[in-house]
Amino acid sequence: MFKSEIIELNMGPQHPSTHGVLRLKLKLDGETIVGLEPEIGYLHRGVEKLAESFTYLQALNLTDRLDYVASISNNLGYIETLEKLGGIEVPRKAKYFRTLMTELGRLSSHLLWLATHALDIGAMTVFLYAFREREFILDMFEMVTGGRLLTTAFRYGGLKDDIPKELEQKIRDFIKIFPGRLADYEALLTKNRIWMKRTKQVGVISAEDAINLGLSGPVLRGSGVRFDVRKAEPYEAYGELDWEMAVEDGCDTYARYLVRLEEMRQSLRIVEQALDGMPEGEFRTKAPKVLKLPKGEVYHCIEAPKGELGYYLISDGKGTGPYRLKVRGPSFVNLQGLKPMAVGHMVADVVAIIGTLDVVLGEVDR
Amino acid sequence: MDFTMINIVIPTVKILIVFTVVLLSVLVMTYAERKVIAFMQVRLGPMRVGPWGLLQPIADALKLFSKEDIIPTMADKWVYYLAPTLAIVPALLTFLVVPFGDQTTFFGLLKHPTSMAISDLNIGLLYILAISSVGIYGILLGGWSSNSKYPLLGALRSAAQIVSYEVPLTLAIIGPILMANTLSMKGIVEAQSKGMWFVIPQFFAFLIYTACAVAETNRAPYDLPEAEQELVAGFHTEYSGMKFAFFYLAEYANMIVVSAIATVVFLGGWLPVPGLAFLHIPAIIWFALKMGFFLFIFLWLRATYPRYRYDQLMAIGWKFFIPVALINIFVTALLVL
Amino acid sequence: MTEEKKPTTPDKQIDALKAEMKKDEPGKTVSAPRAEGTVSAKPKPAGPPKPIIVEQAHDPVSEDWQKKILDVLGDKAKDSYVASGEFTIILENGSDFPGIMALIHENGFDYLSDISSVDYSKYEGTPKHFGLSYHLYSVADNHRIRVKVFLEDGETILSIMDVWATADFHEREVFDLMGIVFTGREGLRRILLPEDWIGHPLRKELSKNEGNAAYTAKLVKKAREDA
Repeated sequence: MFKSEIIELNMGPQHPSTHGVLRLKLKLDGETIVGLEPEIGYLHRGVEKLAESFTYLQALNLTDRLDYVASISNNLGYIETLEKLGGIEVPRKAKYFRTLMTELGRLSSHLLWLATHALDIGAMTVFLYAFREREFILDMFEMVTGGRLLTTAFRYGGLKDDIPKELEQKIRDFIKIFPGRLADYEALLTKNRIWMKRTKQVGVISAEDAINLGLSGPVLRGSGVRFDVRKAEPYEAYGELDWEMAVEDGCDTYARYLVRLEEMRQSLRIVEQALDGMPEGEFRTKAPKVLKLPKGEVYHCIEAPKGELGYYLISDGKGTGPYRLKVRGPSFVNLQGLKPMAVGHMVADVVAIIGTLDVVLGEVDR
Repeated sequence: MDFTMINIVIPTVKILIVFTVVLLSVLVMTYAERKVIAFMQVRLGPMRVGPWGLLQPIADALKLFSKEDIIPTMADKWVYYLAPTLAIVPALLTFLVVPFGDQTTFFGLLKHPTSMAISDLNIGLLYILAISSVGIYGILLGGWSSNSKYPLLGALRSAAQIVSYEVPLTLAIIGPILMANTLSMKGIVEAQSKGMWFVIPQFFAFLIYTACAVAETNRAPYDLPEAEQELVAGFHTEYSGMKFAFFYLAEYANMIVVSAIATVVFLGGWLPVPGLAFLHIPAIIWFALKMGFFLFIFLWLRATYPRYRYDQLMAIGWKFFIPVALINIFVTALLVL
Repeated sequence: MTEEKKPTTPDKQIDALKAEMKKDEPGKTVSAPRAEGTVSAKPKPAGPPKPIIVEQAHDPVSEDWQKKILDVLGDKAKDSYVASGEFTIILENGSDFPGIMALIHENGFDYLSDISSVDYSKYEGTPKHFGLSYHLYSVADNHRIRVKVFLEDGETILSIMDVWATADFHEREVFDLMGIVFTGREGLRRILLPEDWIGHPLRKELSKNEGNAAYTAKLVKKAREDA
């Protein structure tokens, strides 16, 4: 008399909480997920192919559009890759300023994550609070680079321009207000019963599985793995500054939430130290106008807000652009965690898990 | 002459007034919701249409009127048409027995004062509970007839949710009924005029009622049937134009209804706040203020809390609210005896 | 870098591509690798003298952990060097490839960062047409290693999904964009491009717009037929 059927539900590419154009093919038994298949590529622009016909400097613009909420990190990773192959040393002032800017970028990316993650779970107010602070940071980016989202910051051998004078006061203001604002978010969420119910024991992944799946960044550290590229292979000024790696053992969405909040606090510490210890001197070394790199290959990775962002660059030594540029986007790899995390949970948890993975489709699809 | 006056003219006038006021207060509610939540979220809310955006609700209404009416190809047409009606009519019908004040002569127009409810049924509360249960059919049928997956899931959620939460809601009201010894809305208020407001002796019942009222009206943090981030727009995903407006209207009308019930049953109806009777504020203003306070709680909750998950919502309803409400009834019954 | 001027017009290129696609069976998930690049550019006529090319310095393997992993691999490692501080091991493609990778995994390299594919057809001094680079990392010891495998056009390679689950998306991406087929695994299909896309865009024989033009032409043709 009664028969039950598996519903196939198409979530996305137009859906309020798939953060762009992610499409999920869900198989539902009632509201419980029995199968899940991510379909990606709706935002594929062929960045890697385009880079082959661009010069090294032009390809910098392409990196902006990977993870477009943290383009500073993408710029840094790319420029450092060039510098590694070119074997060039960057002045200390540039190193400190790059560190500072990248951490501000991490703050802005994490704020966007917090805003959307909270909104997905239904906490609307946090969204607007977090956006208020993010605006503050974007104003600083505008001050330095002229762009708010697509920054195209940094150049081979240092910075494009010297640091603007008004920036210091702006950052000091931000350092003053931000801890209080962070406390506001925490007051709304951290001990909130509903928030805990919605995030604890949701999207659980063990440390072994996380490593095997190649997850990185806060998603990996939320499973108790102590891996942060900034600590493991310090680049720029990270080795000289005093900060802690944020790790939690919960393995669930709540643990990853705590990791990212702690990262925001640590980022603020880094920003403050980098600002205080900003060396005097040159902001760039002498570099050729038209860049040519030696024939060879390098893989260089940095800790982007989403995880390990790697660039694999091959130069044929002849051209003025990359022979091949491969981007290892953390969101692309982290997306593989979605299926093992979500199967067995309910539809409402899928949005929480997409939020906790913090995927940006610009980087997934490239 | 008197017969026509009492039996036809006065009720008609009262119905017109009540319905107009209710529909207008829905407009005010949408504006208030945007503004209140906006201020909680350090932003301004609507500012463009009229001074401080005051004309925004009217602009919204006009927009909804002029929207294209889309019916999905595979929809069950008749049911699809029927559903918004089924949602809005019960919501408006419940206002029939809400006493907005004690008695009025319409500023001396009438010789004999008349009740400020359209009708003062002696089983008013029962009538409200019965009629408001019909509203669920609107949601269920709307979701089902769209023949689309998100609305279906939304409708299933809301059917489960509303059925489960009606039980503790009703149980929570039984406490005050036992104390007032009547089902008449007017009688309940009069019972409170002799003693204290029922919110004090029936505090737990009030809390349960508030929580269940939020769940019954599908508002945050229990807004699962229309959880935007999960189900796009829930049961009314496929609706547009005026049909959508009807669902919207029904949701706000329901909020006003549950606030009115809370005001009557727990907050002393039109009675002035004890100690402030000397101000001679008209009864209807007191009523409106109390309702406004209750409605404010809705907005406050929405700005503060994340959303529950479906299974968690069920668990709270059945495992927490119902037992507590039952205990409340037993204790009240013992005391009344 | 300026594109070489192609002798054919764009239309002819598309036709050539389409003719080539007809060789592949329609609807097949794993397309057969093409035999000859029919649209590949003609060799560059002798023009200006070749520029002086600076090579990246290759240092000998010096550190203990690097020697240790080479000892474990024995003669399976064809070559190894350190360049820009990065340790590279070159392996041979073969039936024991996943086994060798599992061996490296057992020796601490538990994290697969990335699988990259390179079309070396226009690159001087490489043994074969394609290169695959596996970037591995050891979370406990904080070491990185690059494993390189060279493949001929049309050569397949065994999947390493059993060793690292993360290889799934990477291998699908390599197949999608470069057309290298991984055997011994389930679900190898396009990941970023549409299922019915023509060609594999990261191959050097295709300029950046050719694949797009061919696919658009195909869609237009299909729309005309439907109409």
